[in-house]
Amino acid sequence: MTHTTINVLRTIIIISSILLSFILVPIIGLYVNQTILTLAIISLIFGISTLGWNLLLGYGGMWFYGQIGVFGLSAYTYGLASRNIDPWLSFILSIIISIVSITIISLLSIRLKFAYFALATFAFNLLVSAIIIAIYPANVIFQIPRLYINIFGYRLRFDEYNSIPYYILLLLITITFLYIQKRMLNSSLGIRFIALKENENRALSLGMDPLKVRLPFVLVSVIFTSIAGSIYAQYLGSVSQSIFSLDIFIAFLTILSLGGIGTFYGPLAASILWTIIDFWLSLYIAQYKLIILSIVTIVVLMYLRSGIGGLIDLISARLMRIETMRQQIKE
Amino acid sequence: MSIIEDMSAIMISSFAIGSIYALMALGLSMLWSTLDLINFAHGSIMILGAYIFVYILMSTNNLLLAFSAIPIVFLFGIAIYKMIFEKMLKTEDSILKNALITLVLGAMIEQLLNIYFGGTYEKIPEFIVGYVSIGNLKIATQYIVISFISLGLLILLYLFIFYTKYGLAIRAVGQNLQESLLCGLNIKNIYAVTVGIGFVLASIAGILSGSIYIFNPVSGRIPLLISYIIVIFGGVGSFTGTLVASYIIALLYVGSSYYIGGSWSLFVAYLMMLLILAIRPYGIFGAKR
Repeated sequence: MTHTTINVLRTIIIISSILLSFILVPIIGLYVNQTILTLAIISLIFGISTLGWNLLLGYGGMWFYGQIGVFGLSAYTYGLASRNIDPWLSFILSIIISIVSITIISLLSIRLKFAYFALATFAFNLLVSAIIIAIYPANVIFQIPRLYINIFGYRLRFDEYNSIPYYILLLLITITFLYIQKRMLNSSLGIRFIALKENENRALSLGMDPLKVRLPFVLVSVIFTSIAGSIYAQYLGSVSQSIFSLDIFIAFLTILSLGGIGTFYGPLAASILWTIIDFWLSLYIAQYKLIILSIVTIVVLMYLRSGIGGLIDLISARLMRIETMRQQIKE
Repeated sequence: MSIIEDMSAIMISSFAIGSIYALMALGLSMLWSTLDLINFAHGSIMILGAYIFVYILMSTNNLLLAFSAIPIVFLFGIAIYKMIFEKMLKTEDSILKNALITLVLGAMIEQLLNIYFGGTYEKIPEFIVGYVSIGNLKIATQYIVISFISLGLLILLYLFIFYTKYGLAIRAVGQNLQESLLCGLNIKNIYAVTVGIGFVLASIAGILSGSIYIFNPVSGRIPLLISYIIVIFGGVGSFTGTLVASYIIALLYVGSSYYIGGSWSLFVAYLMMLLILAIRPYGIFGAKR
């Protein structure tokens, strides 16, 4: 295998996994078992949110703990907005509201570092849930209107009995997000972003403005998390205050640590794995689910430090190195 | 009731609650400044202490024996340190990963308590039942007992940290790790004992607050957040700062829940924290770390 072969192989794997996920999963969902579609949708929603978190926490070294706040805020905003205005427009509204609130919290806490930043953003979760409970005291928003598209006069409705449109939509969003993330991280802005994590003092001495470098990444992360939150509300058809509970935060955390903090595909792969494990465990031992997942998370954080994504990186790096050595021997 | 009586009632209850929060926040602050461990499991440890207390009390019916919950939590802390944190110390970005581990650990303890005891509310019986009345004001004796116990413990802790060799060692490790290694301090033992003490302080706070309020496995979450606010407000690693901050925040918390409403009091405390972070990012008494 030469380097080009490895690259071709990688492209083939990526393209075939995209094709498989576009074709195979809906077919299985239609003809064999519908559960797979539900699992796929949930894993994509959680995967997008965790990818967004990973972009800030893993690549940027920002101890952003407000992910669940953004997720819940957009789900709630979506739920409230879509009952009054068009369901598609509500997506934009919830994105705008999340961006505004995150900008406020970032401006307040931009001087803080590490744990202080973490706590200030952790506070954001609480602030959001307190405000929402004050504004909308009823516990649950029911009957969020379903999305629909008109294609050549045929009305395609998104609902729980026909969840393939949700799946395709989420898949498109995930691919877009991965593409944008890749382009951003490979650009000079991305290099500066990572430099700020690796050695902040050095990066500052070179004249980088942390706010200017980090803001685009924060915006991208917030936008996609917000979309994921809105689709979560839209897919479930209802939102409750339990969305701010620690349980979803722990779920994100488990996915992130399983996938590997600061790896590219890790969070997505781990999200799929987590959804399957979670579903399987809640079928048989629902009570001990959290405990088992917690132990797995702790063990992964302690011993398998870069998670699944780290394994993928390790294998491809190993392949590359073997190839380089072989060429050197030839020469 | 007149304004003065209102105010004095608020003062008394916020003094008792502030002392409890001070115990908790000092534990957090010690762990943070010595080990760089940001312990998100502190609330669960607090409730764990209270549950062990209740369990021993129910099975033996002996109040004094129930206080053996405290050494049990101490051993638990050392065991957790040996099992998890000791292995994480030298790894890269261990602070972040330790913080994530404690978050998960806290959730795990909550869930275990939930499975074993059920989600129902428990309460520790009051140590001394009765009222003390000053004028029109009736004060539950429990509040006074708690204030005295926690004040005594705070004085003991102060003496331990500032006037014993072990306390000196703990402070030294927090200030400069390399230097204290050069002086031949046994870092691992000091870390283990610090974790134990931090957990013990949390569990004492849990036992004391459990004798005023009812609690269930998840009721450690709000005290955790409040003690974080206190630690940040007072400055990490500063004893006086944490102490002063806990009384200020407790006064603010109790006062705002009395005048504005209970659901807003945490919100007010958080706004206070954000304000302090924006003006003085290292807390009112904290040194730049």
